[in-house]
This record gives sequence, C-alpha cells and structure tokens, in this order.
Amino acid sequence: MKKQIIILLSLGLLLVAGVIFFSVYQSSKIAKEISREKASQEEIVPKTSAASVRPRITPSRPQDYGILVTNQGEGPKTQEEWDSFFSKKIQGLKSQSSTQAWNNVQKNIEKESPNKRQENLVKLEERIKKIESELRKNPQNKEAQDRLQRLIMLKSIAKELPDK
Amino acid sequence: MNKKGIALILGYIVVVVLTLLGAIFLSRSVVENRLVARHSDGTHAFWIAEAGLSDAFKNIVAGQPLPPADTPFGSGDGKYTVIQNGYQIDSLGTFGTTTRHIRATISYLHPAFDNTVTAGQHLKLHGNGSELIVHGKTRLGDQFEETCSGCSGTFDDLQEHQPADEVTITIPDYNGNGTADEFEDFQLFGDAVINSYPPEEVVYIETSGTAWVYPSSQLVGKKVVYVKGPSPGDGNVNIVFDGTWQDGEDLTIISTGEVLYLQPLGQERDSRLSVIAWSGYTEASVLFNQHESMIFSHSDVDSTDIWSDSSFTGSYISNWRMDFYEYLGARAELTPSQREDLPAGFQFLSNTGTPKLVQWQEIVP
Repeated sequence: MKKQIIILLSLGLLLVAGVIFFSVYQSSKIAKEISREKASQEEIVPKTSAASVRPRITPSRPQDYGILVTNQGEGPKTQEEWDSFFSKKIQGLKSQSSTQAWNNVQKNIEKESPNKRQENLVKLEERIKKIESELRKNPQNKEAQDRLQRLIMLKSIAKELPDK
Repeated sequence: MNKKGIALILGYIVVVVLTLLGAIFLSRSVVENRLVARHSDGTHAFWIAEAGLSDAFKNIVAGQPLPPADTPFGSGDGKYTVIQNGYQIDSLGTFGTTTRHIRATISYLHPAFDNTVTAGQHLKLHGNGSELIVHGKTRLGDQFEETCSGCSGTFDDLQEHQPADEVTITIPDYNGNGTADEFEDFQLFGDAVINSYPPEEVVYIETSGTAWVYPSSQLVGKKVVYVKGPSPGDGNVNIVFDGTWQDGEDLTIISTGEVLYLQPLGQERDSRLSVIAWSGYTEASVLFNQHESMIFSHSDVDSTDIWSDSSFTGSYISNWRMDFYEYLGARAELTPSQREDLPAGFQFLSNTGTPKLVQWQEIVP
C-alpha cells in the first residue's frame, strides 16, 4: 500500500513539474514574441537617420581616398614642378584599375579634331607668355596670377592626355 | 491507512494540479491580451502619428502654422503632436498608453534647382568666335552680355532681371543667431550634411590648404566629400578629371573655399559629380570637356579657359556673376538633367522654395 502511495505521489509531482515546464516554455515563447516585435520595429529605422547617428564628426585621412592635401604656400609653382606633380598621379591613374576608364578618356579625346592637343598646347604656351608679360608689368595682379597657375596646370594635364 | 485515505490524497493532488493549470492559463491569457492590446494600440498610434505628419506637411506646403499640440484624431481616442525643427518634422501619435514617433525630413526645392543656369547677377560670354547654347531655363538677376566678336548665346528660355530670392540661395541660419547666410552657417550646413549620412559614405577633411581630388576607387560609394577650412576661402578643392570614373556614382564635394574643376571627363553612365562652394567655382579644360553636375557657388561661377568644346548636363547656380570667358572658338552646350533626385547636400541648402518630403523613419526609443 505504501508503495502505491509513493508511486501516486511521484506521478503527481511529475505532473506538477511537467505543468511548470510547460508554463516556462510558454512564457519564453511570449518573451520571444515581444523581443521579435521590438526587433521588427528597430528594423524599420533606416540607416540614413539624423544627426543622432553620429554626434561627433571625425576627420578622415585624405590619403585613404586618394586625396592629396597641400598646405597654403606649399605645392608646385613652376611649369616643371607642375609637370612632375601631375605626371606621377596621371601615370598612376593610367596603370591602376581605372585602365578601362582611361580607355574611355581616349575615346572621348577621339571626339576631338586631329592634333587638337598639340594645337592647344601651342596656344597655351602663347597665352602663358602673354600673362607672364602682364605680370611683369603688374606683379600684384591676383587675377592674372590665378590665371597663370590655371594655364600651367592645364598645360601639364594636356601633356599627359593622349593624342587622337 | 485505508483506501479512503488514498482517495483524499489523490483528490488533493488533482485539485492542486488543476489550480496550477488554471492559474497558468489565466496568466497566459492576461499576457496575451495585453500583447494584443499593445499591438492594436501601437498600430493605432502609428497611423495617428502618420496622420499628424500628413497634416503638418499639408500646412507647410500651404504656408500655415503646424497643427496644435495634442490634436485629437478620429473619434478622439488618439491625439498627435507635431514639432518642426529645421528640415525635420517629428510627429508623435498616442493611442491608449502607447506613443509612436515618426520623423520625416523635408527639403525645399529652390527654383534654381530647376534651371540650367541661374546667376544672381549677370551672365557674360567672352571669347571671340565662341558659342554658348543653353537648353532649359536660364534665370538671371541682371542680364546676359556678350563681350566678344563673332560669339553668340542661344537660350531656350532666358528671363533676365529676376527677383533676388529666385536667383540666389541663402544659406539657412544654422547657428541660430538670427542672421542667415553667414560663413559659420555654411560650415554648419556642411556638418549637417555629413551627419545625415552614415560615416562610410562621407569623407571629411579639415584643412586651411587645398585638397586635390582625382578619380579613385576608394571614393566609390561615397556621397559627400566635405573640405572644411577655418575661414572663408580656406579649404579649397581642385578636382582633376572626375571623382571615381565609375557608373552610377553620385558624389557631392562641399568646400568652404574655392573649387577648381580641371578637365572634367565625367562620362560614366548615370554618374554625377556635384559641387557646393562658398568662395567660388571655376572650370577649365584643354580638351573636350563633359560632365553631369549640379554646381552651386555662394560666390561666382567661372567657366574659363575652355580650349575645346564642352557638354554639360545639370545646373550651374551662382549667387553672384557667371562668366564664360576665354572660350577660344569653342562651343559649350548646357542641358538640364533628366534626373529627379537632388545630389547629396542640396536638400539642406535652402529653406525656401517648394517643400518636398524626402524620407521618413520611425524613431524607436
């Protein structure tokens, strides 16, 4: 008789334990449901959100993006210096992964009349001499200074561009 | 111990088990009911917040004040509150005990964004034998002038002596000191632009010198390069050829100084390289020049030393004068862009013009 009581009590305890396990399992399912609901709300927040995404602006390293920074008063000034400045960079562009792009540049140049580059180089040279002469008369002419720098830069670039 | 005793014990066990089961199911049903109610309230609150957003935007378009706080919605069970902070509208919808928050960004489409050429002052063509052809709209604060022999300007739609607010862009009062269009406002505008993009889409450079941008694979996927100098005219940018030489790129370069674009060759499909500059923009090329861009200069725009034909798609916007000079027998053809989207940064450039909702998101606490 005692055995029967013990068996019955054990069965009862097992039943209670089963019920408790079942309730815990159900609660965890509910908890999962709540967290899933929260997560789905977070998913609809786009990445391109407002200032709160990045409260502080951190300067980038220009060299990581192929950007060169020259300080005021530094950098090339003469034609030779500019030639060297552009030559290195443009040779690099020609040989890098942008070869296809450089082929596109050549295609673009083919839209030009033949020998346009050579003609323009001659014209540029004439214009540069004219501005240099203006600057000798009035060395403080800021507009002429800027213009001269621009033309020298263009000349250096033109030297690196392909002919038709 | 007899059989009756066992029945009593068994009875107790059954009662305990049934009570436990009942309690569990009751508890589950209460939790589930709460979940359902919360979900239902949340859905209601979301749509109420969206209604607030719609109401606010309608009022902004009509030039009316925003709806008052706690505006009732529907049968009055819900309410919304709308706050506008610059380019942001925050709408909070409440239903029951649940509040949901939607934030929308609006941009103002300044009339200049729709023009091919816009200048606050004159547009001048210099250069003997040169030819300027502008398709789309040209709007000038002053007038078009030709100071050359044998040159010609042809316009599809030219309107001169336009009101200043239609041909110039005023930088909004970002520093909140009551005065718009200051250099600091421009610096803060740049900050706001880069803060509105994920860090991986932004390059931010602080310098008082000059940044040289060449086509680079490391710039693929970037939206903004912001070069910031400490004072006006610092933080210049010289762009050579293009930003990436890749299809589908859309990069904006913002500079607190001057931008010089040398020999533009941006010819890739659906690519665009745009510029926003405080101290001026100059373009120069020695051979055929082609690019799609939206260019805004708070100062002058000069297309100068153009030694060969050029083909430009997009918009030139100059708050001051615009000069096409030293076009040595060259032909420049300017065509409006077919794209509907603004380049990065332009949506924060103006707080006048036609408002447009550009994005929205739910803010989850």
